[in-house]
Amino acid sequence: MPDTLASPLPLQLFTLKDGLVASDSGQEAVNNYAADFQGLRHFGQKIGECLDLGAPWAGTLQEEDFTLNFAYFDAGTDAQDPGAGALVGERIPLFELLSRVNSMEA
Amino acid sequence: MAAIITPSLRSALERLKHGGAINGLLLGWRRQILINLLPFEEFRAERLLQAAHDAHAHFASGGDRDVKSFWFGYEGVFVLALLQGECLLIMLHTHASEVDFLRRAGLTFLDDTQLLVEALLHPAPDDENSREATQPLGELDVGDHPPEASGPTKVIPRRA
Repeated sequence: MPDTLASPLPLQLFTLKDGLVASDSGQEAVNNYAADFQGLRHFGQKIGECLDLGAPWAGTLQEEDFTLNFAYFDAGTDAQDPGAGALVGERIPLFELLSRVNSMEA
Repeated sequence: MAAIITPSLRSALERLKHGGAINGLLLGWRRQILINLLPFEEFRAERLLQAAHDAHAHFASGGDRDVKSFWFGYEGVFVLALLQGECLLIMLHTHASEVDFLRRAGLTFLDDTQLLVEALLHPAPDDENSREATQPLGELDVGDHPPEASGPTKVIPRRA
């Protein structure tokens, strides 16, 4: 079997709690993730306002070779709510990444 | 432009709308709405289109980033925004597990949309000539015999 099929996804995982981002991936990774997370959440709120949907409990952005997401546990939407997020340097299925992040609640 | 290309796009968009648990669709070109199939007022669709473009511009402002998809989960509904070329497709759907299927279907639809827009904005120089050389359909009814066809299509002439 080729190595590319056997190797796990190079995911970087983050936790959200009390409005703070934390991770084992290092401060630089946390800073980069936090910047994207804030932008993503901001525009998720803007889009939610447009349709009267409220704030998002989950958000994902995807580029050609990059995917990043966040999700608050138990469908929370407040910035202080607990949640998790992930980023990966490739394009992966959106639902798979959401499932992976949701599983961090356990 | 919207008036010219929307009829053919609308039928494709209607089919896409039945491809999953989709609640609504919005198709835009640049910052204008081409087709709005959202269950919301027009002004909300307009704001939604602008907000999605603003999000894309925000992440692109650093230089080399080009976000192709945004996907947000709200209470009871998901919003998937796909950007391809100058076209934008926004889909509201209810089942999270359908998102990757909808993304692929939406991108294929956007590819076709972009081609249609390109053909409209930059028509091929021989388009007019080829249209003039085409035999009008009305002439088929004149004679008693159908035109000879090399393909499987058969034309049955009308008889009085």
